[in-house]
Amino acid sequence: MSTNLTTVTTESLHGLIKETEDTLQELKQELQRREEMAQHRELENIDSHIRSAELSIKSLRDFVAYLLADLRSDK
Amino acid sequence: MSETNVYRADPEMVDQESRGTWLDWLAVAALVYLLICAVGMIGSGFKAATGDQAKELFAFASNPFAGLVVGTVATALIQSSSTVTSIIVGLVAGGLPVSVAVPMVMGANIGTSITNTLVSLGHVREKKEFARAFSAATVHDFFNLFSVVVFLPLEIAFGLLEKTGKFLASFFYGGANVSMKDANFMKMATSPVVDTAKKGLLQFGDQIGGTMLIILGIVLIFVSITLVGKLLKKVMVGKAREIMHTAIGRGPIAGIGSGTLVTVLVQSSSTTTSLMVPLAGSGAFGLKQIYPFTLGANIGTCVTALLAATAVSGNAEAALQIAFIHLAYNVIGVIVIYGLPFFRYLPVHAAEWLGRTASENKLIALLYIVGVFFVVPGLCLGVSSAI
Repeated sequence: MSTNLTTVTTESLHGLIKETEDTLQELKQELQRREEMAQHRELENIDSHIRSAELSIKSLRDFVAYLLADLRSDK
Repeated sequence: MSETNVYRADPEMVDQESRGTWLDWLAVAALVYLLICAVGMIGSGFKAATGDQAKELFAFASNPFAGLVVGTVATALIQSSSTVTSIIVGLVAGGLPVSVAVPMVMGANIGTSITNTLVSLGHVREKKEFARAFSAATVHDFFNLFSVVVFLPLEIAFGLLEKTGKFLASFFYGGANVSMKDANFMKMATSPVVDTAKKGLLQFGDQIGGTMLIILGIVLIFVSITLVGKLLKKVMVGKAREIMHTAIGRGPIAGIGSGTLVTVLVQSSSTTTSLMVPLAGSGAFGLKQIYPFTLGANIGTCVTALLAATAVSGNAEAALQIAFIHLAYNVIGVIVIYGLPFFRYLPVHAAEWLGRTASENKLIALLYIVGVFFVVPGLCLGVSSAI
């Protein structure tokens, strides 16, 4: 690559840099668009998230049970 | 853009969800009325029970660290900062000095962050999911802890928040043409209920009757805030979703604004910060996106106490002052910690580290919760009372 680049004119190099920067920008925008889509999709499940975000004694009990099982399996 | 809209809620469905029945809204209005009456009862009860001895009664909490611990532990046990701050507003109206109440309000902020931390424990079975969920929960803890580290010394040294609260309350009580002293419709609306309860219970004597009035007020605040939270969660879920959809991709200010709005709508910062836990756990939202929303929740939760402070009798200006102190503390906290670049991501880095560590060793999560919310406050209380 570096050997090839030595033969490329300065003007072409500027063009390549511009093209690469544009591509990078497009890729970043596409990535952001996908992330935001995923977030919008996730928000559509807000009802179930609200339910799962409710604190219950059962979830605490489950955590302690998991912790104890984890500690026993480590021994 | 059009693809994004596919994932927006159907407006008709949202309308159906968020409208609720007229009975739901009637119940919300009745419960808010009950909450305001209950705060008034605490104020009247505290004044009757203590006479002019309120300051002496709370002498143990005149040490700011003790006040901080009382606020933290009380909120962690009750699981509602709105309840605790409303009780504090009632107590201030009844004679509790504002300077004693300020650290309690700060402690309420710390105590309320236990709820979403406990909620995050439900993600324990998936290691990466747990790391993300625990970080999303503890970023709230770390922000509130940093906030106390910054503002408690400033409060002790200069009374920064006390002065700010006094300044804000003065707009409503200090010599304005139309002052709340002259025409307080909220007080007029609640006085029949408060006066009836007062008359009924003070027959048992000032001390016993006053204490009974305080207990009744606390129970009613707890019940009304719990029920109103449940109802609003049901009727406001569609609106909350819309607000959050709107904030996506619009930067941190929109995140803070949407967190504030959603919390005002559901009247509970625990609900909004707990909602962030599964959203982060799924991996759809990063910690830096969750963080501003959490800060907004801190601001939105101040509305309950402000509302309650509008209708108290007794030392009403001081009651409004402490409610404004709560608001000012949270707003200035966001401006200072989030506004200053070198402070901004300290809570995020701390939460990320803790999330990673706790996902490797789950016992650390348990030790962290017990330590931060109970053992360390207990030790502080012991040390401060010994000094």
